[in-house]
Amino acid sequence: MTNRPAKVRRRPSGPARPSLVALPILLMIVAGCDGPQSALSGAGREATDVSRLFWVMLVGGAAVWIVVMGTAIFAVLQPPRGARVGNAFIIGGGVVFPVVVLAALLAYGLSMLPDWAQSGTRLKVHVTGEQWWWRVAYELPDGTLVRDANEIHLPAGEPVEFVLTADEVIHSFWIPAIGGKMDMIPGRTNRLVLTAEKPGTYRGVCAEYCGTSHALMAFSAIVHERDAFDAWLAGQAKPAVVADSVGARRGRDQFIAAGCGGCHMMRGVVELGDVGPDLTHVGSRRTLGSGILPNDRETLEAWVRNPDHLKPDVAMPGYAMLPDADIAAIATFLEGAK
Amino acid sequence: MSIRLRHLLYLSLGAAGAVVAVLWLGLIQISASSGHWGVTDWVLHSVMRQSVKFHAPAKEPPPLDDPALVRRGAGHYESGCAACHGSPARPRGAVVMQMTPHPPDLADRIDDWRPAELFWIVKHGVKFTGMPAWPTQARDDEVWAMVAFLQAMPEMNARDYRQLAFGPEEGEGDAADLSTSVRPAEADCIRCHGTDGLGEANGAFPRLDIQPEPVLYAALKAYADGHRASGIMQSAASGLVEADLRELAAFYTKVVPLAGASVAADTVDGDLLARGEAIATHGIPRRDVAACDGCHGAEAAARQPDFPRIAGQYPGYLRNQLALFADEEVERGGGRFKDLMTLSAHTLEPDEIEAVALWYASREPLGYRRGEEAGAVRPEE
Repeated sequence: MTNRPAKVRRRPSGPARPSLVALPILLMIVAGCDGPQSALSGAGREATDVSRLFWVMLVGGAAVWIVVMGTAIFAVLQPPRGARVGNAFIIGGGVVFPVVVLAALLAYGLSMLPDWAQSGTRLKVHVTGEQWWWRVAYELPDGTLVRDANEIHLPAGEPVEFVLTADEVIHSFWIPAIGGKMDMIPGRTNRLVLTAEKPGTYRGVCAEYCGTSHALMAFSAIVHERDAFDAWLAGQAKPAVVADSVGARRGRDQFIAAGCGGCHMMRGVVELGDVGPDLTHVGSRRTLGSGILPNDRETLEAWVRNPDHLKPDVAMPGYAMLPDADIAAIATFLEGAK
Repeated sequence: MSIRLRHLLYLSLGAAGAVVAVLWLGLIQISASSGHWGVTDWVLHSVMRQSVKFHAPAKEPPPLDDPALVRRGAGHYESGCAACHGSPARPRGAVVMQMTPHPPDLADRIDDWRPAELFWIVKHGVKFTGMPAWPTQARDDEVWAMVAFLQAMPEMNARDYRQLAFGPEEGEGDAADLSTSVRPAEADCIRCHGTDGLGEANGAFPRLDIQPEPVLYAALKAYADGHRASGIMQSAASGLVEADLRELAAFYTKVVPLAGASVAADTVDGDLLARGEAIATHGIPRRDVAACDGCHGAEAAARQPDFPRIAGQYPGYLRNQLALFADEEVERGGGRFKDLMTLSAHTLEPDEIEAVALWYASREPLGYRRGEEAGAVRPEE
């Protein structure tokens, strides 16, 4: 060994190394604990509960771990002291203490189960998981549905009931900052009540693997003050706005002429198929492609031309057969459909 | 022992060398004029018969007495087969009789074969005989139409045949009459599709009167380029140059669409029609089936001349084309939007295809002008 030149030199390892590697990782983890998709930021009552439950569980779990491990180490290090003392340690530290702490944690956790008795009067939002987007409908008090897609709007400070199901495969509905998550299962309706508290824009995701573009299935959750929410909902209930310009009107005609209406509802423009997302007010959404890209001209055109490039295996066919001018006109029209 | 074996080896090597020499020196007679030896003829024919019998499909043929099938087969027999096999309206010519083997007069041969055997011969052709295969292997429905016609042909006289192969209007006169009033390429269309584009209203051929010019052009172009499978239309379109395709596409656009559905709604089961309407107007959202009206409805048709119009089309044609679009093995070419149709059709079940075909067949065509005479030619505008 000593005669051979050390061609392959092993990286020296020492006690300093792991901490150097761990530091940035730790920083990244800590950085992930804030922002629009953080379960610890507490923007909703349920998320706050979950967050508190997390800390309580952490403390309780840590106490059990310390006591049990402490007892074990104590037993190893100390000379024997007789069966009575030993039994007291085993029963006290190993059985009684964990049982009491865990029972308390269980009771605390169970006490947080939602109270279904007060169901009925609150706002209902129907959300259906599709591959890979969200079909959304707000149920008004008179039972009519206001349809939307890929965005959730909520009034601050009020419990909202989500009526969740799925189209073909299982998805999971999760707005970490507000609460959740809940599985969306084809042929079954799950209910989830959330109360958003702080107005703002948050990010929701699909939390159950659902196919090729599962990771590209997100949405914006926007929490408004009550008045702003009502105004927003009233706007959504109206038919599509066709901007008052030659370009937008030409775009509307191209939208119909390309057969887009076979799959997309656009109330007031074309009301036929209902396969893909409702586009009535697509221009007012923050994102395109279900929370993956900014809603701007460039993305709109790229999406119409070749959506599969942006979201692999998406059901929508590409419209690259259309001349650029037609795609631009359609983008102008969609952009203006606020 | 070993010496004898060695002799046998020399002998067989010598014989093989002699055979190669005979073939290589060009001594074999291949002239058609000399015909086959009796024994060659017997062997070749026996092998052919046994092979056809062995390979003929076991599946059940469609109802072969359907007049629409016979009519469809007749139109193509005249352009594709009669030149060699003759027809009730004309005997085989002197030239084809000099082929070896010469093509048989089919009238007295049809009964020798089962329908499935005829199907196999028409679809695949026969090596070493000059009998070609069907121009595409993807259209069994057309091959069956030809079989239906072949089975009916022995009973036909010249007049019956002419009516089927040239259309009822020209059946009385001579085929040559057509070329005096219209251009030759148009005459070939008119034999099957008629001057009014209705194709005689028995569903043998699709309605062309309802289509905008770009749709007809795209269809002809796809046939001519081999992207849309049809033995009948590929043979009709493949010999045409670009100018012909443009001219022919314009020909039927001059015809005013005839008012009236191809199927009376009250003759169709109401539930089936309602199902067809639901698919046409709303699709099947849960299974990603688009609403057909998104492209084929009045709103889209008014803005997009590239979408085929299907309201008022014959149900059999719609059914067949949907099945072709749904078949992932076959390229169904067409205009620039054809891929949208492939996507829409491939999840449809047969009963849904039936419902939606009947729904559109029971609708008034788009763009017809009520009060104008059927098939009237539009004045030049």
